Amino acid sequence: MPLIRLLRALSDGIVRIERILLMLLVCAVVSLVLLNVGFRLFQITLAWADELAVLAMAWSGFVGASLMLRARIDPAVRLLHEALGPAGVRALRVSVALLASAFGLILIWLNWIWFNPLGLYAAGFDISTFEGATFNFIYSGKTPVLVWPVFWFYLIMPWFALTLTIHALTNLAEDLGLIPARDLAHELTPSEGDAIPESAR
Amino acid sequence: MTLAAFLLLLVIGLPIGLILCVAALVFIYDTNNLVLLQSYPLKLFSSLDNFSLLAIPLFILVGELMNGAGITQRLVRLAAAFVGALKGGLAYINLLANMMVASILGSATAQIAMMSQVMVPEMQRAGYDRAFAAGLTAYGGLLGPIIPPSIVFVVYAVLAQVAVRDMLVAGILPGLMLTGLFVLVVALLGRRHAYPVGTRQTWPARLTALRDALPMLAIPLVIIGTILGGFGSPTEAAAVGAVLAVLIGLFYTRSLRLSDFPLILIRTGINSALVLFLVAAAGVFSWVLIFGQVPQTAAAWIQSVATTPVAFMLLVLVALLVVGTVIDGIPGLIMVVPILLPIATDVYGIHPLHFGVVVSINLILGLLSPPVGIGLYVAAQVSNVSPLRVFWVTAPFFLAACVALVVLALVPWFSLALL
Repeated sequence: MPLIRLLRALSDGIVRIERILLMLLVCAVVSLVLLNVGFRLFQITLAWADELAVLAMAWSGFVGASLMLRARIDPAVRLLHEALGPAGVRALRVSVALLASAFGLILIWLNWIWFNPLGLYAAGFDISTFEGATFNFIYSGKTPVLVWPVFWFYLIMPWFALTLTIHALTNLAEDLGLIPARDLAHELTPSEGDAIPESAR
Repeated sequence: MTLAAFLLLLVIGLPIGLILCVAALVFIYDTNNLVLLQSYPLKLFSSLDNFSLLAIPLFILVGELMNGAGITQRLVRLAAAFVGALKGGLAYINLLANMMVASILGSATAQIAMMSQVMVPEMQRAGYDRAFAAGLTAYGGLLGPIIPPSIVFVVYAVLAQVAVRDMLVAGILPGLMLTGLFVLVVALLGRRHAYPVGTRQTWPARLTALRDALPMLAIPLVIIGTILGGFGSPTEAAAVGAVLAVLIGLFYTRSLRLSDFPLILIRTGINSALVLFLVAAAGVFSWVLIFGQVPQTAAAWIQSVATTPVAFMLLVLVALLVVGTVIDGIPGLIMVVPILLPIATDVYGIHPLHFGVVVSINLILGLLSPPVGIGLYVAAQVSNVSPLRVFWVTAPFFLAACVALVVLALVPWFSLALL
């Protein structure tokens, strides 16, 4: 099972990155909003700070969603899980992990089509040739205020698809009993959250 | 096929955000709109590219900071100081403390779990029935998502494209009305059952309790004041509230430490991602539905069943009570608003803010209705009593909430008067 151990190590590594990234992004959102509040006192509105805050928030949404899937704390209706016996619950968990993995793979594929790296290579990395050939304008779009190329921000989507897939596959390996389960939910939300049963999240 | 896939995924317990994403894919395949696949990841991203959503991480941050600053106990003491000597004093304390906590937390299940740990043992020690204590706390927790700043309302405002401020204001009278009704029920029940009477506190003790809790109350007041007074957007108000909470936690209550901050940031990130990913998934889902003309089809069907706005509202009330039993407020909103709101506003001429208040409260009330209301289970589990017993003991509150809901649905004034 070296492959599955590798998967687990990869997932653990991504969790570490995601925790740090999430902290930095929340910090960025709060700091940028506060910066704007401060400047508002002098009748100055920093449109770029708002723009960056919204983009940082969007990033945090996808980073957090991937982490939540691994920790199994995203909201779901788990009534059937409580009603069935251990074998039934295991079957349900395996199907959930399978579906999540399949969705992750499809999302990777959709991002591949969207970013179309092969098409870009075929166009010799010339954006106007690429756009003429594909009618895909992802590389020329700009953010409204800062006028930065927006595809840099879109890169969170392939990253999200990749981490989601790795986490879902790791969950699948856990549910199949191939590797021991890791109680990530407990590590992320100790103390207060303990009282809430799994079905309530 | 999409509906069947949707229900199947819901039953096996796939996370709701992923259900919406997968159902959108199934729908694209089903209706042979494969060209939509090209824009799928872009749509997922751009659903979050929305300024109003910034309020969500900030509101959650304020809640986390207040949690770290030891707020609940002080609020309970404050309520005890003033209404403790009434018959059924602790029951009123429970509701009042819940109302004050509600203005900060904004999530019903989290609030029920937190307040049950504080209030249920306290009430049992004073001689109340444990199931009643658990149930009462659960109903108090309902106030969380209604009294501003409420994250449920922010999400609705984003989905419905109305101003966040207006939505928060619209919730004030309904929240007060619900609190008032619950207080009335406690008073009426107190006549039949001999509720224990607490000790009367002296004025100096009351003033001490007030002084201890005052900074805690200042934070929601500053947030609500900033929003209502038009001094800043809800997002900015929450940012100011967060700074205030940090200052109070570090220097006044001294229960917040700098070493707590990484965990607070992570929890804020996760709890807001929970909402944000649902919003993103709902964005894709409703975008696909519009291409498939689903809202129009649903509207045609509903129009054939409900001919008047009143009939429509009543139909919605019953349907959402059922939806609410299995799904928490925000995921519930995200699933039903894209379909129901256009029908409510375009066909029946219902004000989007009025509709938002009713739908939100309706879904939240579903949390406490049997057989599967999640809020009921949380309260029962934390307090170690059977959920069904909790429900029966507190059935008068359920009836009161249903009456309030029907009144709110039929009389738009309560939601729109303060605007």
